[in-house]
Amino acid sequence: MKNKLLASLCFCLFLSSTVHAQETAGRIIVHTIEQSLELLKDPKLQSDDKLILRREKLWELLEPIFNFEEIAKRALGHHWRDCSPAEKKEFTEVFTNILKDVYLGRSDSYSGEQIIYLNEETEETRSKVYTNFITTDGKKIDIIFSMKKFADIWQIYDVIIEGVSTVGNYRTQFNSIINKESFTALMQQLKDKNFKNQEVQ
Amino acid sequence: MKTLLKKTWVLSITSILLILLTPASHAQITEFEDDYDDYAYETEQNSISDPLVKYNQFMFKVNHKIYKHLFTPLSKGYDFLIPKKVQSSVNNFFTNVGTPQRFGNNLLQLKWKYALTEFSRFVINSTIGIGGFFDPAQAAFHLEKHDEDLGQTLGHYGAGPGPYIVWPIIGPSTLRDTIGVIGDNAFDPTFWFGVLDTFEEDEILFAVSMVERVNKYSYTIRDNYDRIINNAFDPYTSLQHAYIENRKKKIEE
Repeated sequence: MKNKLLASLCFCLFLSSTVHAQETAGRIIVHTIEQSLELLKDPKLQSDDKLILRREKLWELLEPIFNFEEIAKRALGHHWRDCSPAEKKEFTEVFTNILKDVYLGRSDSYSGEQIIYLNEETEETRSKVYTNFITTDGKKIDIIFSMKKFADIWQIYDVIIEGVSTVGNYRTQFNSIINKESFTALMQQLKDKNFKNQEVQ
Repeated sequence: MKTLLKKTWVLSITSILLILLTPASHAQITEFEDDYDDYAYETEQNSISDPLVKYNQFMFKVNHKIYKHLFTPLSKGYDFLIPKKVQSSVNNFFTNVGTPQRFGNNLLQLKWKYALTEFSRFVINSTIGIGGFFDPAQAAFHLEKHDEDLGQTLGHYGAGPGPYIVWPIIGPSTLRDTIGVIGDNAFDPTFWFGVLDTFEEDEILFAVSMVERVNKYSYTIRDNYDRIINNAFDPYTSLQHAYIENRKKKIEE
């Protein structure tokens, strides 16, 4: 009896580990999107007073598939090297909140849009997942998720919308602000935006 | 009118030659050589050439005011009167009318299959699609539209974007894409109706082009513009980057 139990336990572990190993970048995206859409369609979470709860639940799904430290690093570009560890930490936190608000803000107005998985190109530790976003009035938007294996888990480091890299777009803006003003000025702008976002909520 | 046309052509041909002689500023990159490893070494000057930055920034601000205080209220009124489904049909109609431009530029890029697709789409949508208001070519025959314009054709043959230019009302462009738009007019039926005085009443032509503009703004531009600007910390730079990168993608396609 004991052996049987042990054997089935081992089998289960083996099964789960193979499933985990087979988890491709594309499957992580598809799986997360499916779960997110289910959540957004959930009739119990439709009313306005459930909006914050819905945002929280959605964030629980989305947060693990992004690598925000990598995103922050890439958004700062070569200025990242000039930052102290404390500055890096603070910037990552503040910028994560900005992105969180952008993504969750878009989810508030969800009205039946769909995401279609097209294909993926993977090279060892990096992958590009090609998808189409279909709006309710039938417009098609090309979205590519750039992913990298961080400690054996695929995570997003950039989202490319119609050829425009989100991280690249922030980088040109941050570069311009740092060059014209300073890193401190940029941090202040980010914090102000966060503050405003919280007020709106 | 004729001299003006002649001047425009001389100007565009000279500029085409100039731009074709300028090598593209970005080399062809493979899928995984995007900016993964070199981002950290990128200098503050990205590859966008913007010698007119002072004028461009001024025009960006003027356009922003026009969009916010004139176009957005106008298009919200339009949204109220015209449901999105109808806007989509109006958009289909003008897309269908614009077939000669896409057909011609696909030919210029030797994309025979896409040119044929554009031709088939035109035939199907003009007939079964009731004068182009519907898109059965896509819905029933799965014939995808292949958007090409002269700016993309020039890019396809290696012309770099040249300096960034913000035009009044029209918005972001580059020297290459400006030349492209001028040249594309040759493919635009409504432009020739105007030149050849096909319509007795200029007002009709003006009204048609206004409907096209307002519909386009309401149906596609407004949301995209707002999304970029509302999330931006430096709106001018953000819009410029988005324009240049989006054009790059369209050229590579």
